[in-house]
Amino acid sequence: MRTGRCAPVLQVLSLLFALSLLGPGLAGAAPSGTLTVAMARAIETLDPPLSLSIGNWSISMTMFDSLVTVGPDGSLQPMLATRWEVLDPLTWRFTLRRGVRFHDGRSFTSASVKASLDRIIDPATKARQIGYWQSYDRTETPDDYTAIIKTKAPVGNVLSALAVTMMVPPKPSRPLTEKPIGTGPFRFVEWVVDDHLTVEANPDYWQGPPKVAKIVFRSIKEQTTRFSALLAGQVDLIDQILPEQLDRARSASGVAVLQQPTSFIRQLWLSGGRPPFNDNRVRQAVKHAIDTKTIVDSIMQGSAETVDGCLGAKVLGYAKQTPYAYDPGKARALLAEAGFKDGFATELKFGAELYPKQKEIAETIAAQLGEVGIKVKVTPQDQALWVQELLALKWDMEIVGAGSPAGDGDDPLRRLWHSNNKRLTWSSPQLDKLLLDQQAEVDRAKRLRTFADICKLLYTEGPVVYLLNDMEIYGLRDRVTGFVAYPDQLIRLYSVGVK
Amino acid sequence: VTEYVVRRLLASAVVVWGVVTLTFFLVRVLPGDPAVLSLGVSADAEAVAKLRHAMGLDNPLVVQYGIFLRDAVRGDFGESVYMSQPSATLFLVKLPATLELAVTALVLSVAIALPLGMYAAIRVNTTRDALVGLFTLTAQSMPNFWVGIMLILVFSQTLQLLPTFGRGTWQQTVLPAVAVALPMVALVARLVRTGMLDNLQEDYVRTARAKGLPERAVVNRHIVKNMLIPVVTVVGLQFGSLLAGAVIVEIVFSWPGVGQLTVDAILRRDYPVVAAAVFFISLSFVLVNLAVDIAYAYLDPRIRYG
Repeated sequence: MRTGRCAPVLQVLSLLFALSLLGPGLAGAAPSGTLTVAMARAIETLDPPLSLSIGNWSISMTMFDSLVTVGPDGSLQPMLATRWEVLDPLTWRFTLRRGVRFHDGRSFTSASVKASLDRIIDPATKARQIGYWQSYDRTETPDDYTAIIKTKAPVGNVLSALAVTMMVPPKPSRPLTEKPIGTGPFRFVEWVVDDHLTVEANPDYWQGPPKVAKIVFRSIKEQTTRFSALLAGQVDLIDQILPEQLDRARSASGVAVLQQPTSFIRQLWLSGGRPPFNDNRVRQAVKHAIDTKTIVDSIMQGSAETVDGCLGAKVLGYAKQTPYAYDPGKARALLAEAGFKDGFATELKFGAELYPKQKEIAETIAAQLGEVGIKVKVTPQDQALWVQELLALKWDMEIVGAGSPAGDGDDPLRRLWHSNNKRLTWSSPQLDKLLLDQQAEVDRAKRLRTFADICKLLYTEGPVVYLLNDMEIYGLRDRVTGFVAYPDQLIRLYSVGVK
Repeated sequence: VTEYVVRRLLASAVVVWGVVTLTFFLVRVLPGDPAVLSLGVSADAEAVAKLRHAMGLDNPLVVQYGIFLRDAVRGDFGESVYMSQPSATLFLVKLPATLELAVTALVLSVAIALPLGMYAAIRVNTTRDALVGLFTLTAQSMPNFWVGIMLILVFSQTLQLLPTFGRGTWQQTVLPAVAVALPMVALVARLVRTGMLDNLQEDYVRTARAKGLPERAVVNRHIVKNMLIPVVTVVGLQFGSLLAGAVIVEIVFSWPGVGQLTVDAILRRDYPVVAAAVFFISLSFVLVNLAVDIAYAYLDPRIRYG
């Protein structure tokens, strides 16, 4: 029997955390004020597992809790589960927090854990989060405060998946899509589709009541409108400030800007199974020919960082690598060595509207590759066509963005790189094995070592150039207190207050 | 007239069926798999296959169409892939907001354009007429969404006079309504000006003036009524583009109408929502056209239905 290595430390930490919360709670700081949040992303549903949108998850997290949660440093911390153990590679035992109640007054018990997980894999639920629980078998409930989760195969990222899996009551009286009932710090008030969603403070929250009495969420997709609403003081907090808006935001009075590196990494994929990219010398030549620092500095204007791994720095599995030096001379030499003394012609496809500055990045890459003799045709595409051709492997070069929404390297690495998933023309038996090893490894330290090997392999041989790590840029009115940005881009509002 | 209306209604039903059918096949011919778009690039092939099955996309196209028609005649266009709600409900709940914006813009544009066009016609070939001409030309050339963003930058961000987004108060309606109305103002003002000028040359105007009627009465009682027929035609026909303009402007102002819903549905290949949107939009088109035709009878008794 193995015990989660950090569980005791985390228990102490969580106890300290809970005590620190009791302070203001006892002093009787009642929730007050209304916080208005405008997000770029859409609000899709009230039922948590039906969405894969980070915006929707942020809203779910005001009303629901998960068994474990992610801290600002990316570490996994206890939430509704106070401790956990791996009984065998297929069996995880969770001890649940006592005295937690759903908004309808019912107690949170192991039956809720079972119901929450069972419904995700039930096709009738149409849960888009099903990808996280593909190997889920069943949950056993020996008593009210013990839940045993069994998987069909060993799964290394059970805890990360649990961090994004919200606990719902068994058999809610009304569908959760109409009336969400959770154990979270806020209770559902109303949702006017495409207008606003309102939640109010839950005075009986198990960690003590939140700071604000009410939160109004709005989804404002248009960048100028969202930004203007913040500057005009009509909203208190916005996400996705653009690089070109940064100066204006910094100089505006009453507004603060918060930048946070995310787990989202944009990368250039090469079709490594076909000529000319099937020659590793050509792939390395491309890696030497692209100056990512220029892209980050002059195009992203400080809203991104250069990458030194194959995952975000706060993601479980991150392992630091030495990026390729920008060296056009070496690139030309490698190309000549591979028989492409005069270069070659190729095409770069990308989803034009998917992420900020895609076109500028693509054009810069084309120009830089042109310097070493690779003539690149730049082809912007709309999202639907882009996805279709990407998955049909109809491309030579692609700009792909991938984050780790659950803070775990399994998604994206295994899903994007394992040859079974047919995402690239290139495959490597060695990489396939490493990817499956980490997935099945429940020992965290061993898993991290495997991730380091995966990343090293991708750097030396992989048909991928890591371009940049996107930052999330938040804008806040001065009246907002206690907001902390997280690398997973989820907006957590429990300890946020307004003056 | 009743017989005429019934006949037109039947024809309208055929038109709506045709548009919906055409869209059904068009969106499916477009590249882009809704299941893949829904689950994202990193989804497992197995999960995608399951979702395709749940959405009925693994059936042959003809079977899909049969199922679609069977459900559609009962008003069921299927559940939205993203919102997990019936798409017809989703659309209809938001339609009033869009209609409110379009109708406000319509009233606004006629209220501005009529006097503006008449003023220009009365002052024909003066500097003021030229200024009106310059304004209408500019207004017609500016895209809605750009006007919307400019209005926000000036009146909301800089002057902080009006709210940036949302719906509910009259203040929130002003900027989006102006953005939608502007091209229409330009179009109708030009039309009114031309109509006035044409009518001013007519014999009946000379007669009216010869009777000794004051100029005000000549214009109000005689010219306006004659000039209104082409205006009503154009306003009716343009209601469609007004709706389209509203759909774009809604996105800029985060106005909770059908705009964002429809555009997202097309981009994400949310077939059920596309179908519901196309059905209700084409239905409102044919109904408005019908209403315009009927309105002629009241404006010009010479027009008969047969």
